[in-house]
Amino acid sequence: MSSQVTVEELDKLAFELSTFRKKPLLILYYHEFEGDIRESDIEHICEEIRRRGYHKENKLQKLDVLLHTIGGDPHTGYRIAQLIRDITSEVTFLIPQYAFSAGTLTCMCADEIRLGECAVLSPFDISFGAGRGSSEDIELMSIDYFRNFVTDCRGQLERMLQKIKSRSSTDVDSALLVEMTRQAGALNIGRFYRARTLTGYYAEMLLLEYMFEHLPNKEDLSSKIIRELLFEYPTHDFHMDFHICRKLGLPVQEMAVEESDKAKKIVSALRQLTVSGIICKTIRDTYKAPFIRLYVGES
Amino acid sequence: MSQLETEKEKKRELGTLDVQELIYKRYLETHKLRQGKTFDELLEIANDPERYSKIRKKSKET
Repeated sequence: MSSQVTVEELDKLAFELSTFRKKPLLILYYHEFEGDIRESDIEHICEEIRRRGYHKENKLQKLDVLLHTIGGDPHTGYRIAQLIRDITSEVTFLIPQYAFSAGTLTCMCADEIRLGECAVLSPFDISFGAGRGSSEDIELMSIDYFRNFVTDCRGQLERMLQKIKSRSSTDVDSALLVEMTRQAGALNIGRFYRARTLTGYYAEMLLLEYMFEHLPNKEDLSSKIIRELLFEYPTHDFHMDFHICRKLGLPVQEMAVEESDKAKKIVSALRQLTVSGIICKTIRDTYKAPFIRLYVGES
Repeated sequence: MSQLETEKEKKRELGTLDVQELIYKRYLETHKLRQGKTFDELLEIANDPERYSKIRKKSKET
């Protein structure tokens, strides 16, 4: 692709993919670290869909959603999912490169998730701190792992004391926990746990209502997936590729090379158009508007 | 065709760039209205017990 991509070329690529997949295509593109999912997106996605004449009383039969995001607000991730399900009976998510965190949560409403070559999802544990991607960000998972570390420390010390037949005891666990609370802040930790419960609740709603709606074991499967996504993966930015997603039990498929190339070309065009300042313009310092567009059966 | 329907039809046919411009303008408006604050920050301010008690106190005085 030439370095000077035009919007017409982007349209052509989008219609090519839509024709190839034989479905309308909704593109939700958030530009790298300057575009995260925010509450105001809902209104604009809704408006774009309504503008094309679709709403819950005039649904699309099938829809592909091409999603590219580093994540953002989980409440919005959930509401976007419900909005999409309001206007289509069947939805497939196309992830050419990645849909992290709140983006993964949105995918939980899909009938199918199709991953491009080397594309990934992520856990939707809560990250909290001074800024997205900042080194000051704290993850709830870090707190969980610190807690495990504290338990291990206490266990090891107690074993050592037993070995040397000492009558003393250890309070290393409380000292470490006090230090962690001092550093992270008691209220912050409380907020983390509340937010995780909330994300789990949203995910459960989407999995039961849509993704596993017709499965007899949907409750068990949903609980397993939520537990793993919230508690068992090592970090918030853990990369869940096709193999990990499939092992987890998600309805994922790997795109064939042609489909993957077509989807990746769209993301590449969107990226170039954003860098050129044509789309996804800056709203403030490090925040750009997302690209939202519904392509329906014309070229 | 009514004026509303004609307008709807016109809107439906907007090109990609027009749509993105429209969206961008709306984002800027929202951003301005919210004085640069995120929705979460606004919620926090609106539901701040201290602020609420001040409002109650003021309304009792008047």
